[in-house]
Amino acid sequence: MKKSLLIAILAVLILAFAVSAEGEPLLIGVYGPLSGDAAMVGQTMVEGIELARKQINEAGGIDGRMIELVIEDDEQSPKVAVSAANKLVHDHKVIGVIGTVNSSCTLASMEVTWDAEVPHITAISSGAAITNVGNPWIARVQASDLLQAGAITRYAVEDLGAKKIGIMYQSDDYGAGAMEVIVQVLKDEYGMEPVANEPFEANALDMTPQLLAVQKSGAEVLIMWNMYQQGALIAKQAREMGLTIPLLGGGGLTNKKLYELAGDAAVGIVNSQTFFADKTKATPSAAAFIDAFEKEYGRMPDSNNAMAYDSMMIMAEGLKAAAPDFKNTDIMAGILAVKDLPLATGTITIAPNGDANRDILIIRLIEGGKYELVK
Amino acid sequence: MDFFIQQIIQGIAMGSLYGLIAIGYVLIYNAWGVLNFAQGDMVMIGAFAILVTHIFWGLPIIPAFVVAIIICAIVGYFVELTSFRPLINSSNTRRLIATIGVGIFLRNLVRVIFGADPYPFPSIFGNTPVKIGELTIIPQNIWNTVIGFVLVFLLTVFLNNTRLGKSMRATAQDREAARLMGINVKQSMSLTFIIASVLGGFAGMLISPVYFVIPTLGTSLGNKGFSSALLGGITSNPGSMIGGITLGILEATSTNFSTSIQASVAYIVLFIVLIFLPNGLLGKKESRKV
Repeated sequence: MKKSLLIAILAVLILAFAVSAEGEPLLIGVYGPLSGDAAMVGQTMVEGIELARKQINEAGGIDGRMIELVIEDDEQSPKVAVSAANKLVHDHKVIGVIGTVNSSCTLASMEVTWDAEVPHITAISSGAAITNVGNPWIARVQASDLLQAGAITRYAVEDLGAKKIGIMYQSDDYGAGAMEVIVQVLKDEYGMEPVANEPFEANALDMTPQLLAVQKSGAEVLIMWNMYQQGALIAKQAREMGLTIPLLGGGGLTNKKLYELAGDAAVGIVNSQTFFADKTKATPSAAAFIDAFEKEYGRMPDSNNAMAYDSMMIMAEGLKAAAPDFKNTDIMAGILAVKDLPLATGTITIAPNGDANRDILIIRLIEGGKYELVK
Repeated sequence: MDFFIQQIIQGIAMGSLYGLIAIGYVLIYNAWGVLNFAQGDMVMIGAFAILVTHIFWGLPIIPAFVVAIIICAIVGYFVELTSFRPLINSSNTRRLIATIGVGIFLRNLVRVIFGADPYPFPSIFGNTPVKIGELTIIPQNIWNTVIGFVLVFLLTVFLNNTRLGKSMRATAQDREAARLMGINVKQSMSLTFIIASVLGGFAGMLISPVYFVIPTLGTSLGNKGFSSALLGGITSNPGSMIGGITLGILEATSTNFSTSIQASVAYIVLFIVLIFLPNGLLGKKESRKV
């Protein structure tokens, strides 16, 4: 009896070694919107991941094993995203998952990886809920709105020297969440209070009552937390009523439509971003990424390319830490252990909740609707 | 104090546009007996009409306005002819639902043609604010107020002093009696819808430089026009202008308490009027119910 057990254990061990020695590829699942309205963003994400995979494999892979991608389409539908995640986890038996773009899709489908205990990194989804529902199997490369709001507040106080700060925000999770961060940062770090703090409905068209209140408060800068459409309305209506203080905001403002809608009123708007393709001002790791991307695809990368690239790189850190067994708990521990890792979107440290902490970039809209890197 | 005056000016400017929209509700309510919930969407049609004529076709602003008004009139007439005229003898509920349906149809038709993204529209009257003492006045606001009042004045003259206007009023008072008196009731009804559509559309044209042109433009503006119409007493033209301006001022000054209640002012007014002031400010007592 004892003997047979020993033989069984030996057999299992030999089998296990045989498999790893053969150097079978490490399967990583990728899913995103590859068809439908957001197909371009999905494609962008795959490009970034593909570039990172190529670099990792050319450098000898992880512990001598190559990374192979299994790619699924989620059609930007939470329902399809769940079945895509199921396919990756249960049919293809991937050891890690990267995806997806839309926050609702990520929220719905991360239940699958959570249940199956498969390490999961989302590259582009920014919804605050993703990393605060206690899912131990998720990490995020996109800067959560909370990080971005803190960065823009510090910029307003330290770089612009503003003593009086006005806030306008759309009264939903997105705007109100960021507003709370701004108020907190002002209070904790500078002992300040906003001189105006004005909510507006997400579908509001008339911003003048809020702007009048901001104007009356004597604010020296206005931090607004909303998407580009409301940003354009605020910029336009503020300039029309002679309010010329600097306008600051979050990543949701970065869109070519902002300039199309507000015209010159939008020039000078400053907002936070995770990545900006300017080699002259980029960190060495970001510059290396821009070079490699340009060589591979013949054009400049955008922030989604960069975040997707970083997602794969962070997944690789997890895999390295888990070699040679590639146990799920070791991979996830490896991902969460990432600290001061220089990548395309900055020097990244993964927080215990899975959010990537890093320096946030500040960019400014200039004449002709282009952007320049401020810091 | 200056700040308060600033708010009042802002309120009057928005309020006169609400008034224009409200008059559309009143005209149709008087003539047809039910509220036209597609009135807000006529505002949106007006905004898209001026977008097409001035920006897409490149017409100078005055001809662009004229052509846009014609477009609004045609849309108004077409809606009356296809959706409302066949229902003239139906129950109030059915007619009310028809107006809601027309609104949904117009909104989505425009969305299919132009997409859901907003379009920018340049300032018509210049966007350099004029400083008077401590007051900052946006030229557009002054013009919107002036044009709003002129239109209401012209409408009143038309209704009281022309044959067509008088027949419209007669039709509104009693369709059967008007028919017996030899008034062309069909023509009067069409004219009512056309004028209501043009007034709503005009509000849309005036507001497009302030906001953006977007298919959902009429939804919130329509509700504000509706509140204004009720506040003014749903049967009175001057009343709806007064209702509109009152609502505009209330909205602008409500922000002294909290900007978050601004969006709900129109609905608060709606509740108060319905409960405590069912005849509005200038409405006549009547037994007819919606």
